[in-house]
Amino acid sequence: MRHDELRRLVDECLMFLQESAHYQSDLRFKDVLAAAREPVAAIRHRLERAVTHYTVAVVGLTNVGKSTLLNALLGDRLAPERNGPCTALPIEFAYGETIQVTAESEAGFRPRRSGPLRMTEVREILETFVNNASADGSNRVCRIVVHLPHALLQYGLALVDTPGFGAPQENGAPHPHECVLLGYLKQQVSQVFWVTLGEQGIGRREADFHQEHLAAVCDDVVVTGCEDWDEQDRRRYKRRFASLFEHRIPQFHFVSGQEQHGQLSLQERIRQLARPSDRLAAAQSALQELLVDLGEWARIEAEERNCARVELWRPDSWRRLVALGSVLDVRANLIQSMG
Amino acid sequence: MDMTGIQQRLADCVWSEELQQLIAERDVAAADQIRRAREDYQSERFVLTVLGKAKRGKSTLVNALLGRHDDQLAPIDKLPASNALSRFVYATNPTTRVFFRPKDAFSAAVVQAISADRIREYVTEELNSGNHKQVEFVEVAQPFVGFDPHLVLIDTPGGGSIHDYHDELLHAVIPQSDAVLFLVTARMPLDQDELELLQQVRAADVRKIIFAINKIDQTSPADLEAASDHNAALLSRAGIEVQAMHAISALRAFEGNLAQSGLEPLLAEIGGLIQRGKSAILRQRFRSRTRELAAGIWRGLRAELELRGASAAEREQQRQALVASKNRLATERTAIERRFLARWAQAVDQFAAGLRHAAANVKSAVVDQITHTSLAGTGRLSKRLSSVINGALENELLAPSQTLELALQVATRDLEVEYPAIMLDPADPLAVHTSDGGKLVKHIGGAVATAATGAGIIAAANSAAAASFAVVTSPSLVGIALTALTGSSGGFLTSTTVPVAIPLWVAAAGPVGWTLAGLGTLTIPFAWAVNRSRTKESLHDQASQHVDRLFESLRSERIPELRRSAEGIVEEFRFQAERRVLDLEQALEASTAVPKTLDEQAQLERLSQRLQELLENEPGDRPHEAR
Repeated sequence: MRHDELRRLVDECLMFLQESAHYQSDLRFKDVLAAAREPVAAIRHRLERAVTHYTVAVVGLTNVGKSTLLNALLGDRLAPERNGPCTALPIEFAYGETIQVTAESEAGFRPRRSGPLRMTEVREILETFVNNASADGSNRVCRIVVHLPHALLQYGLALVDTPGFGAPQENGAPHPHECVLLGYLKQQVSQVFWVTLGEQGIGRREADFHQEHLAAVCDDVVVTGCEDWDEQDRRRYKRRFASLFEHRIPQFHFVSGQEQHGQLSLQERIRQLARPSDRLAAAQSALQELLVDLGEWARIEAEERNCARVELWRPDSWRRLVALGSVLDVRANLIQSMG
Repeated sequence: MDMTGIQQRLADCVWSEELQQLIAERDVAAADQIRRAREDYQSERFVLTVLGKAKRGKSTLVNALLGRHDDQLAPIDKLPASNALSRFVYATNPTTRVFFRPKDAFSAAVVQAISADRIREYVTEELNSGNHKQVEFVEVAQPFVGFDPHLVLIDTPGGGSIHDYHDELLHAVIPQSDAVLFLVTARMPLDQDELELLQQVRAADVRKIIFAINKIDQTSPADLEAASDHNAALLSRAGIEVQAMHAISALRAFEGNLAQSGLEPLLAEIGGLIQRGKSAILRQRFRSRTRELAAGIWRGLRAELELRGASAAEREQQRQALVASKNRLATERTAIERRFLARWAQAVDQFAAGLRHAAANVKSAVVDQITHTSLAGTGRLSKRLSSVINGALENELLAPSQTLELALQVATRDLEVEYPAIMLDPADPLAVHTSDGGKLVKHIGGAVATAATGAGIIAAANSAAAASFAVVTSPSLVGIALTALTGSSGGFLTSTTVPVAIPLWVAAAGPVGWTLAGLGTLTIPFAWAVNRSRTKESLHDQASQHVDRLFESLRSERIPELRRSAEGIVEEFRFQAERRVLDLEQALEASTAVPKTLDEQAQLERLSQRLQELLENEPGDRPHEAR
């Protein structure tokens, strides 16, 4: 499917869900249909920038190894790493012919640029920029962008290192890093790799954060620090924490220094995301899965009420959706899932 | 592990034993009570709880502290393992027992003895996932090498976990701890979860926090230093005091490499804590009880000796005074007791009357919250529901409980002050001071006789309440009555736990605290039941049912007990008064009897002397002991 076609389908689904929700008088139905809009909206969000500037962010608690992971993906030690809350701003790595580091500020403020640079200078410059930005909030830096001629990034993919959440804050208010992170997530991010430290397991703070902010945009969980884990350990981990993922269970990548297993699957994933056509395909299959899930739910409901599944949807919305499906040549699938 | 302070305890027990022996000749019952006070003191334990986020090495450290080189007793795993509480105590006969959660508020806890190699099956997430076996805690008693017999070491599940019941367990065990051993690692500097855990410790008024950075074997010195700096700065900003930041490797100690584990200073701090910390309170309690018993005997003895010296006319006067006291006791006492009972009943009635209203409020608050949660959030809410109910409960009951507490305290104090005093001769009270600043009256004179030590002790109890120790330190009549009532009943988690948000009760641990204590833990089985069903209606039902059950148990069990405890207090007062009368009558009798031989007189003198010596010279505090 082409990009604009998928966009139309997604928009139509959104409308369909909203109208059916209004149409239904049963409160429970309303809730489910409203809840189903969230992941569809997330897919739409991803599609918006799927071609030009698809940002994939690594997100997680402080100190779980996000920066280290990103450096491993880029193949170079560019992002600053430290034992302690380190990354104070989102650092985007995007494609550029020459190496440049820019501190982008909110509208109305001039960006600060530095470059062209050599690869070896990047890290130091980054640390300077980040430190300056944290210390002196007056120039309102909202993110740092690093342009480099990296093969992985040449078709519009951007990888982002983010501030960790859960850093300690004595007075109980959310840490400034966390505010920055949330703002960035809302506006700029297409997809998220959730990074978690294997041996710690997943705690309540992480789980809540994921549920609230990441669930719609996260398809991958990267588990770091499992240097000496074998297949059984990995299975145990998945089994134990699978219950946290209500809608879709993401793909787990167990990353360790020595064993290349997890690294490979992760890099394969990145390569998938590197190309626009692959991104579209991923979005499409996500939408498909969602509709299948919805259809399954509808089937059970219909059985209980002793009616046909189709009767659950608002009639004219359904007709419109099916019509579009014909045009796009997915009508058969649609009817099979939900009709 | 070698703990100092054992010598002090020995001195205390030698003192107590001698007193017991001397007194046995005069009064067997009193001697028995002295023995029991000593036994209680000897078996009272110092509770050290190991806290920290998951995978910080708590269980490894516990194994090392127990002198073990395997993880049979405190299982370790690659993933977070500890799932329930484990208590480790010293005993000559090894036993391992599993305490299961009682089925409901009315059943007793079920206890099962198991072999130590099965501990894993009850305390790990792998073999007891979700704690479906409903384990409250596992107690392991063994003659651990070098383990202080007075130490209770508690291993806990990691804080900040996704499981609500882990939180409940921590919530229950923290206020019961005398000190906390807080473990972090160098690779993960303090984060918000750990900070909140520390704040929870502080809110429960656990004053002593031993802080240790673990896994130094896996960290570079540079990283360790960065972490230490970060931690120290954060702790000071958050106002959390720790004596030292130990850097250890529990793993090395576990593997037998004690020298490079950094554990020595940590053990020294623990030892010092046990000696200086709770010991002081326990000692005071033990000493007060012993002292009062011995002093009573001594007073009788002195009375007898001095009465012998009185002339016939004086003796007649004294007998008259005693008879007058007895009469007054008989007439006035009933009215005073009745007044006290009425006031107590009124306060309890008032509290009970508000319960139905409170139940309705709690229910509607909880149901509201359920209704206003979206379907997507229901899953999360179901996991948090028990804390929601707890919160509503505490909100609703805080004010009425405080009123009740105050009313009961005032009534009891008035009773003590008004109660008729036993007098022989109001003139000429001579006093001797003990090392404790209390007063012993040589000559039985004035209301001072029954209430002198009482006044000082009330003051001590007040200041202890202000300092918020979770122990009733007052050995006054009030204190004794209340201690007997609040003494261990039911399970580990229900006897002295109080909701953390209500520090008033941590201080008083009086009958009200006992009444409402343990209500929070009733919600644990509820949390497990709720996780199974997530639809909102079912949540509504379950929540309502549960709130009903809680209040029913309050109404039908706790409140009646509270009412009954007033009678217990009155009985205690009566008993004490009557004993005083008996003492004096005996003394009078003895003095009018055929005068004893000089030898016997001398013997009694010596006995009295020795008793006085012992009372004036209680085993002293160590010079550096401070509170």
